[in-house]
Amino acid sequence: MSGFMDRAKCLQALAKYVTDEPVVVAVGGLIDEWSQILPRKLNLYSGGMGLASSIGLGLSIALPERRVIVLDGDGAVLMNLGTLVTTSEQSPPNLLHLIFHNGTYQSSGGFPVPGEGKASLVELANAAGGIDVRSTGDLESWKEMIPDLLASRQHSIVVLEVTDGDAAPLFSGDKLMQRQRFEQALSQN
Amino acid sequence: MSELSTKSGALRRDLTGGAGNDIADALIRAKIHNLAVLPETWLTPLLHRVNQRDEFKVIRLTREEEGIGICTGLALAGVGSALLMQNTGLLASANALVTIPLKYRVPLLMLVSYRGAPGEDDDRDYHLLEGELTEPALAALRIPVFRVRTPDEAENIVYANTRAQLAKQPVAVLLSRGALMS
Repeated sequence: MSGFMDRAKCLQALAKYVTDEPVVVAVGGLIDEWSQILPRKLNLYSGGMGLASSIGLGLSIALPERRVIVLDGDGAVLMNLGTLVTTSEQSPPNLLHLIFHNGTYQSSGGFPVPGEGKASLVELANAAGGIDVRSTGDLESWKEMIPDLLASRQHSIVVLEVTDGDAAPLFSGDKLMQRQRFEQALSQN
Repeated sequence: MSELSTKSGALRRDLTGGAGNDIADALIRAKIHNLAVLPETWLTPLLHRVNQRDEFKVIRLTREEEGIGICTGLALAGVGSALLMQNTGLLASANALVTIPLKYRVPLLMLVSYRGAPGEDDDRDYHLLEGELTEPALAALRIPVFRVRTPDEAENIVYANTRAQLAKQPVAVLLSRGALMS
């Protein structure tokens, strides 16, 4: 396989452009990393594996004027594969679904996800009806994509080919308090 | 009465009487306009009704637990919703209920067809075990149960929704055949 990015660098690049978008983060290493890189009230750290994209869909329907970002993992998407169909059917123009593909269940032992090397997330997303499905393993290409992805008004799915890097320190915050802050921050805007 | 035509041509229904309207009206009184739905036979008249009525946005699900996530997103943004499914779907979604609305204290209104339950006169015997296990499972999850046995009891949906909002947690409204199919 060619072209992998360091996931933390991908997230850092994204963080430079995020302003007041609600960000839903999938269970696992993404929470550890994102919570360090850009801690803020408008992050929601998902509790249920696979459901970050479903929560993101609900938010995008409720908040049509705001871009909603989902930071998802490949293992999580596999666990809720129907989400690709359900979200694409709704195709909310304000939903940005980022799938970080590192090929492993990183937070639970680092074992490979099924289908690694055989199944294609990009093809699955396209076949599920995604109207804007992209993929990159090149950091500079990713950096160039970000402003347009945040400003655009279409349902986008981006598969980011990342390496399974060193795990960030475990998130030590309180996910329940964060859920509270998130809701308050949404109601204040 | 308009019919919902499907690609397969299946399941057209000539709706007479109020089937589904009382429940739909109760949802409107509870200010609920977003419905996450996984169809099942008893829910069919209600689903035809809400698909026809402009007040509702219907989000079609591939699995019930998606609806738990979707309704959570709506709730955190202050928008009401309901999840419509069969009781078997509720059993299938137990962990999603635990890890999100129960743990994170998020209101969730579940309208659940009560298949195979004792006394429900469900002519399909393959639901009997699921019917027996539904209320014990809800009790184990500490989810309050409301019943709507006939269309007249549809107001219980409004009470259930208020309970969910105030307690910030899931509630289950178990819908009898008589409430859905008459």
